Amino acid sequence: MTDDPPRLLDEGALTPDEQRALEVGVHERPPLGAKAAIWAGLSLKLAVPATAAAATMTATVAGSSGVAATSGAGAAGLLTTMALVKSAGLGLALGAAVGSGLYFSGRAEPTPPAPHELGVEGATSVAAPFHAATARPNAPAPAERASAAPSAASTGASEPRAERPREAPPVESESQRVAGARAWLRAGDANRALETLGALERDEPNGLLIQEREALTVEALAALGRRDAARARADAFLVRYPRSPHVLAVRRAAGYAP
Amino acid sequence: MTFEDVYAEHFEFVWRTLRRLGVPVADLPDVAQEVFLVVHRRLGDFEERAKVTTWLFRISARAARDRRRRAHVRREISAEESLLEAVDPAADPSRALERADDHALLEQGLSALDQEQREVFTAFELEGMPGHAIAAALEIPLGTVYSRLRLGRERFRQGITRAVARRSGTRFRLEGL
Repeated sequence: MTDDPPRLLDEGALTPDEQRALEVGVHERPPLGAKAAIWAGLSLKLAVPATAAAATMTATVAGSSGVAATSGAGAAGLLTTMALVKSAGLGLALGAAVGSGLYFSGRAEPTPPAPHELGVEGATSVAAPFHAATARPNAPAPAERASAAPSAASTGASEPRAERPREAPPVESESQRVAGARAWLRAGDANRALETLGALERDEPNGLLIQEREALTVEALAALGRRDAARARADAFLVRYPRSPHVLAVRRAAGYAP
Repeated sequence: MTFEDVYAEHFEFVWRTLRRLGVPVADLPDVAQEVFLVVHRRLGDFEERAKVTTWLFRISARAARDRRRRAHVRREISAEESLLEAVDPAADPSRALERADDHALLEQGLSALDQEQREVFTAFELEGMPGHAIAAALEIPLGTVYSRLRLGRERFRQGITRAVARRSGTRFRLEGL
């Protein structure tokens, strides 16, 4: 029983513009990788031993190597990962950027691993999964994980689950590699971004995302202070794609006046 | 219900709620994380007889209000930067443009609402939450939900009309060149 009025979309009395605006709102989805990236960020935040929350967690996972694994990962590794997660999350979030609303509907998101899947003893509390995630014997340290898998989608929560045998890592798609390069760049590691972009150029010289690849390459070169290389690349880009939506970004990265 | 269950099942709900409540895309990762930090802290107090989405909506609405209050100090993202970041590797490019346009229109419509109306309007019209759940989440009487909804609808339609008029005005000017 409800006195609710019918919803506008059910009523069928909308103008076509109202209709399409509401429909796009109904189908709003987070960008690919956002769920995993934010989970990774949360797990790092909640696992920091200096906080009260972490003290509770330490108690609940007594006997597991969670704490050692967390601190053993090394401050630098954690920081890198946090920066990466944050900026990767941001970069991917911007995939649905202001006013452009591009969405990744219908794509499966990795879900956070559950304690029983990780096989960590005593991982029964609310807080346990965070330690479980870092304590798993086969889990690479955050820094290694990050260097092996720069895209936010593969950072943190998307590793193969423990009960399955380890599989060869899936071949990353062009889009994942572009997203990964962007994540590295935004995380401040232009070298690694450039590596990713270079490898992509070798593997798929005429890929669908060639403009994005080239624009990011210009940015990465500029970030590394390789101005001449950035300019040369930018010039080629501007000749080849004079109407690209990335023209402004490329010009700016190359140091041209807008 | 563990924290990770809530996250696994309701991450998308929180994300789209925040987005619809006007949290800028660039801030969404941070704000979504804030929401789940609150969830983590308060999960013990959550009463299972309430619906978890009602509870999450309340936390999200508060977080969105906070973020909007602080939004004026936020760095603006330049247009070209957002374009570069906006590459959707998965989407069909032709559809992507249309959806980008639809989304811009939605945002223009919603920006005509004040925040309280926007909370009710998006929860009801887009999320499909029933009035009583919205009342419970926002801790307001059902009558207030309905009145905000009514006003929100009016403003939304006006906002869309204005946005469309502005657009066709631009087109005429361009065509006149």
